[in-house]
Amino acid sequence: MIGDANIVDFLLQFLGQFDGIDVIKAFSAIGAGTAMIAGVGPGIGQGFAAGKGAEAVGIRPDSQSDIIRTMLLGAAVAETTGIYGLIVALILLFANPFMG
Amino acid sequence: MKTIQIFDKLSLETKIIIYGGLVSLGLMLFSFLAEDPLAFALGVLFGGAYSILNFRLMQLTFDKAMKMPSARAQKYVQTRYFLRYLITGVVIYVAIINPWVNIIGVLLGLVAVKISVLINTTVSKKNVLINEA
Repeated sequence: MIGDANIVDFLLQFLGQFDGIDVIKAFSAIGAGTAMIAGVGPGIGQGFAAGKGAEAVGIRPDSQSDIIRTMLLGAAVAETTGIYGLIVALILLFANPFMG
Repeated sequence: MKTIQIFDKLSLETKIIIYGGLVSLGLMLFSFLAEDPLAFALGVLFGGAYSILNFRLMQLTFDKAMKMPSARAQKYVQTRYFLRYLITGVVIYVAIINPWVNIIGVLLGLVAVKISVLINTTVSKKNVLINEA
């Protein structure tokens, strides 16, 4: 039972049982996992754009190169956000700045 | 002058790749700001080379996907994206683990192609002519 203490106090008390480094490692792993969600979005978006692009090429085959070019540029820029998430996750896992 | 004429005739994709290389070289000039200039320059070179390869892979993927039916193209592009994402992860992991490659340099190199895309799409032909005059 938590009793009169609020949830934050309870959480701090609970975390106080463990070594500080272990707590940082655990939260870093949670943070890395959360950051990796950012990588899914561009994948879905690129796939959706490619599907619509393929439909557009089917309707107008003569403008295939224009469609591919526009899609390629959009996809190249959109991929950046996914890479940012990956970088954050990998830095948290392998070069954690909170552990000195 | 002849070089500029040849450059104008190139496709946008090729221009982006060339500009990506030039942006990487430009970013390498900032190595004097880093503690270890050689590691920073190597990092930019590593990241820039990978981002160009990544762009080429993406181009090949889209070229192939356009010859497929819509639903299949969607799945194909998504699968290929995650494969490229995995390779990017390996590149960043190698950059973090190796002490002779600066991670900030690699990150700057990775965005070189994006900078190149923005330059190629936002700087219009008209502006270039005004700047030249």
